[in-house]
Amino acid sequence: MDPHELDDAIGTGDRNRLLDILIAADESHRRVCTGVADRWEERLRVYWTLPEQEQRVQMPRETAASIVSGLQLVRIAVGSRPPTHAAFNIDYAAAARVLAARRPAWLQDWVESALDQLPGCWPLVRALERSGAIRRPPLPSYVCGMIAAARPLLSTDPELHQEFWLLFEYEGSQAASMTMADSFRWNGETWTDVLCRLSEEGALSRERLLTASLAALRRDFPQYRSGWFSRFHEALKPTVEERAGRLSQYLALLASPIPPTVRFALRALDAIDRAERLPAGELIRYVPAALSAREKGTVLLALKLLGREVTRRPDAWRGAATAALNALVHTAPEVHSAVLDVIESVQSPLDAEVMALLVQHRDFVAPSQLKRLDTILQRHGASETATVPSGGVRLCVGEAEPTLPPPVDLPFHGVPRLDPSRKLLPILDIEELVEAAGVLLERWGPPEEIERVMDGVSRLCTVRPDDYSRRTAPLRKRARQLARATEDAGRFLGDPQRDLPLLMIAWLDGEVSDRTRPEEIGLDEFMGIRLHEIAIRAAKGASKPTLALPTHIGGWICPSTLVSRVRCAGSDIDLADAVQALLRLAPDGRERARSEAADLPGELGAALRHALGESGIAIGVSEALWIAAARSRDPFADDVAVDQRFPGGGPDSGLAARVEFSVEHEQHTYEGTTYHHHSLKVTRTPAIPPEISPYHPAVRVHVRAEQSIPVRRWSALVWPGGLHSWFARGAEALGSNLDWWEARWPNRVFLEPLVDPDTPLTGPALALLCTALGAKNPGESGLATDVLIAGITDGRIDREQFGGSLGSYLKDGLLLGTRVSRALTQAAQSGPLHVEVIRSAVERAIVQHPEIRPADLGALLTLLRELSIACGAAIESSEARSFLGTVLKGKSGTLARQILGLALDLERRSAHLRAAREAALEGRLPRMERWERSLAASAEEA
Amino acid sequence: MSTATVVHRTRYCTSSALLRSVSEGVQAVGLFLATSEGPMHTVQAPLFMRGVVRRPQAVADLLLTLSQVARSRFHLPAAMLRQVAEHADPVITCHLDGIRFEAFSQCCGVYARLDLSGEELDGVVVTPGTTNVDFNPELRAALSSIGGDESLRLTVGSQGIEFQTDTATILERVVELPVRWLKGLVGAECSQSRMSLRWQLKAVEARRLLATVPRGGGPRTSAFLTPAGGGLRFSQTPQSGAVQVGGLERLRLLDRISRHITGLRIFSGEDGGPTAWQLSVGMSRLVLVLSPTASRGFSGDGDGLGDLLVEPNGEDVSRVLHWLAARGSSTSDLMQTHLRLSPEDLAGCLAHLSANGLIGYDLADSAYFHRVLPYDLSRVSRLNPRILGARGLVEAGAVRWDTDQIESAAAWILSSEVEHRVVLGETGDRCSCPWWSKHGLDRGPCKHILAARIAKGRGNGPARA
Repeated sequence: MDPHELDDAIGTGDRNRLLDILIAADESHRRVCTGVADRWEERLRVYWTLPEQEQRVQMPRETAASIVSGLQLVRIAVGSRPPTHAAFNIDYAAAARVLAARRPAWLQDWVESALDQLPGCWPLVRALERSGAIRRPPLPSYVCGMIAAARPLLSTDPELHQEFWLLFEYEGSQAASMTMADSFRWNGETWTDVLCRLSEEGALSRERLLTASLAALRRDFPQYRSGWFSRFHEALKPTVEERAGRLSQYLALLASPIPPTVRFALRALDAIDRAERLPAGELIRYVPAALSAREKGTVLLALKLLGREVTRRPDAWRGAATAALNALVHTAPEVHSAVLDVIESVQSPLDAEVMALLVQHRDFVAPSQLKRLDTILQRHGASETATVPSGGVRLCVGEAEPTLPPPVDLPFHGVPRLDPSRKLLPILDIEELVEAAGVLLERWGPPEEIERVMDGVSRLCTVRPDDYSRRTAPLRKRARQLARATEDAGRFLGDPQRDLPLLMIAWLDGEVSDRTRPEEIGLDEFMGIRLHEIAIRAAKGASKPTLALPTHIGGWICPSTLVSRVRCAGSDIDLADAVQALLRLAPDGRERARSEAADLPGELGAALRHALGESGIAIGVSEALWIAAARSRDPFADDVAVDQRFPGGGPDSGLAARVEFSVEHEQHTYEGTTYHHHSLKVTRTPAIPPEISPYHPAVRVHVRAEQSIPVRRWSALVWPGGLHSWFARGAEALGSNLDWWEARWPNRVFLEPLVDPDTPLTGPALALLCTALGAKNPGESGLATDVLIAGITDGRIDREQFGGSLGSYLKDGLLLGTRVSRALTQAAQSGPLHVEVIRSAVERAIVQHPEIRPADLGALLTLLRELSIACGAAIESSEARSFLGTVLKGKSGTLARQILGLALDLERRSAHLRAAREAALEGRLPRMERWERSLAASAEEA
Repeated sequence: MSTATVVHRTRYCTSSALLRSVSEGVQAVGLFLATSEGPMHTVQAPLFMRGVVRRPQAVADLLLTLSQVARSRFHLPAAMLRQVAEHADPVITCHLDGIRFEAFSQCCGVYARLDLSGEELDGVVVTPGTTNVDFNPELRAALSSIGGDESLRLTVGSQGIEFQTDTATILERVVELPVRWLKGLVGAECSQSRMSLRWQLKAVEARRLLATVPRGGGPRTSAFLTPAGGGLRFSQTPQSGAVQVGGLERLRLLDRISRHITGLRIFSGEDGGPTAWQLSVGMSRLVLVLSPTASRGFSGDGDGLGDLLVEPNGEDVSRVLHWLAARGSSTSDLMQTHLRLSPEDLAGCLAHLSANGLIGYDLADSAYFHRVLPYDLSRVSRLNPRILGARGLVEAGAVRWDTDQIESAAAWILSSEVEHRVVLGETGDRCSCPWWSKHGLDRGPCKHILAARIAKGRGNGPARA
């Protein structure tokens, strides 16, 4: 082969000629021909850029395509080691012939790396291995290649039938697994189709396929990848005979850590058992693992099998009863009922060990099953069983039931916010500022600390002690480092992670970057403006304290403090700082502050007096200041004067926002399956205007959710009195991602302020709580459960409202009954007060919204039954009784009848209500003490 | 980005296996655990122990859980993105009171130790010692098939004496263990000695609690183990007295054995940090130690660095080691009394021995025990970057004391072209570097604080800044 000959062969597009030349060449010729391929590639590159007509003049496109394919072969046949991607989509048979003839030193390594990255090149690897040019690559990647590329060859290449069994020994990879391969068809066939067909044709051993698929399930394959093997096993439709022959394999699978595998094994055993082919005793030996499963269906199936075993072999009762007790750890009452079914079927007297185990589990048995358990214990001679909670005084008929105190009312102007134990102190000196700023650059929070550092920089930017440069050098270096890392992300967009380094640079080096205008309207732009204002001031060396530094945690500012800050600031104010300060005014001590502010000059002074509640103030010209003042004056009331002066500002401008929640339902059908998507929509009145000034943060609260956790936490401090609007946005954000379609981690931040015992759980906050209780993500639903527990303990939950909201969202399909009832069950375990509140709420939910879907209703009724029994209550409300009387069908019908049949247990009920009332009062004490402290501190200051 | 690694060789004469045989109509099951004879394994014995397991199904599940820990990865550190994490086989220690297995996850955030007590094993320890043990896929599959009432004969050794095994086949495995992994293994051991008992649960309560660990990825934030009603629950909000648990999903490793649990004890440090979950299964115990979060391995923890700063007296170290080797285990009080060592000196000796993989800590007995980890840990102590960095700074004369504030021990440390200000205070040391700003002292002191401490310990200050 010489370069001219190769050049000519490539140009003709004659594949056979080219192949002959490449195979016959020796290594010295190959080396000198490298340039030929480069030249052709350059020619083709130019060719493809030409207009189509001109291309036709130069050479037909078919020839060009043939040259491209030929060049792939030339690339591996000449020169040094080609890149790995040269193996992509090459003519594998031809490539194998060329490489087998050439046998370069890099071949083995190149092939292994190509197979790793491009499993589809497996035919090339196999051909080279069979020709002896390479050793077989490591098995895991070889098998991945088989998964990706062997399916079409299996029918035509009988020799492959030997290697084929490796597919059952290796799990594959992220890029190639049997599960993934079967989501696509090759010539209309999946791997399952091909194997079933070959098995039917006798080309592959059916026996071996059945055994190998079970063996694969016992390997450590992850759940996603192992799923194929159980599905394939069932696709072979094993007969009872075949299943019985593999009994030990199925039994061993009961201990699998993969829940679907356990369910699969149980179903197979069920089939064997129904054919009466399950040997005595075998099930009892292996079934305890399945009885400990978390999936209710799996445990119930296992108990069903166990029940049959006891019926068939009464002498096996001991093992069966001991095994069945494993399932009592499950929380579902149905499971407990099934366990007791097994125990009840035991004819012989239970021995001491089983009795002891039963007593041990008694506290965890569902209330609806306790009576049954006690009867069993009594029947078998237990000395002590039922333990009625001791409530002290017996309730006599006609005596008034102890009632729970009403929910706590937390009006904006009625809650003292200036708790002396939550006071924030400004940064004292440069040493403290440097340390706090350094920490903030790394942690971006808590938000109160951002405010302290902003104030510190603004106030201390001109302080220059002797060792100033030395002290600030590490901070300067770090700020520059961080600013470089995020320089493409925009400047002063309100994200502390990106903006704080810029603020430090402005302070330390006097360099201020221009602010970037964000692409989307949001609250963060306002926060960016505030940072930018301080950065400009610090760079110029114009020090002054900020107005907006909170005096207390939660973002609140003591009104008197703000009055004195405004007095000191004079006319030198930054607009965003002033707006922010107004929005943070605490409700306490406004009257005193009003008198102190009587002589405050300027528009800010007037706006502040307006915010503090003074009437008859003439509205000025700065829209941003007056809107902030209006919202600060009363977050829930319209400010007609401000609205008349600045109309059309949107929700929470002059007019307070009114929000309404509705559930939007969308559906689409894909491959015959209809998918439903429910999301929570918020309708705001007045409507959001198309343009909102960045200086109107109260309006911007309604627009867009921030994208990162630190920004979102900080945004909660912008308008502490207007968190209800922030919660509405939170409910919308969570309500559009309840099934966790996207990993939106910052959404849980919306729930964090709800834990505060002074945050009212009404309106949007309640909507947010109810929505989050039905979230799939355990972080969101777990936090919502915490909020519910805390809200019940400190008296913020109104049973009627809570039940009504829950019922409404369940009825509209936003929430799933099973998820909600799981969260409610967890919350109810916190004590008698929680049981009582949740029971009443569930009752309200079903009464107010009888249209709840049957599946969701079943979950709620199960909970209602358990909680009612636990607290000795019967359904007394005539509305509830008449509704339950209409539920006749299915599981819900059975539950409704059981609930209607519950009788009031006077003694238990009385004890329970007393305990609940005690807990309710005890839970409110800390708030009372805290408020007393705050009021005392305010009085002292006054 | 590359990761420093240490090559570790295991050499098995045969594979571990589970064999079933029928003798005189009775089915017997034999579990053979093959031990390694690699160069790091100082004890090379054809037979370590043999005996009969009293609760075969529970022991099989315990062993499977342990091997699951060794193969788990809950986080892929950035430095390892390009490197397929390999795992080392669990470590087995045969001692006079039973067998101890140890395993460490690939992500360096979960450490497990299984103590099979002598009461669970009716048998004899022929050769005490520590080595690696083979848990191959076939063995793991077979272990899951052990029935509840089977009799299980256990043999541990390098040769399958009672088994038909092919001794001609030597299975040699070379694993490149990241230094991070080895540091983490040692760090996980150290962290236990600073924990105390926080909660204790009975069997059913424990199983109920473990059943509430969320499936899937779980929440990203830490959970808080909090009292609720009569029991405990995982809350998402911090409350006083709650135990913080990061990477809750890692507790799902206990799913397999939860049905065998007879008790659960939960340990943690005073101010959060790692937690330890000690499960009792009959007389045996499995301890699972979790790092503070799934993305944070034990390798980065430097709580014990302070104790490693000063080289302990070699003779003292040797005395402590011999004391432990002779008794198997001992509490620090006992060692202080009998070896006449001050608490500081003993802490230095124990930290030194622990860093070299020579001792471990048993939470259940609050005692240290002796064993020689079969890994080359010399690079680990050599490569401890913070101590190395601190020593380097001191050697280079980078520590300058601020004489004006000598009482509060403030120093300027020149490092990477800037001077960091370190204040060694009674309420905790502070530094102006990014590490301290980010972590405070949660992960131990930064190299600047360590340098100041070294300089202060040596008394080579104060020089005028």
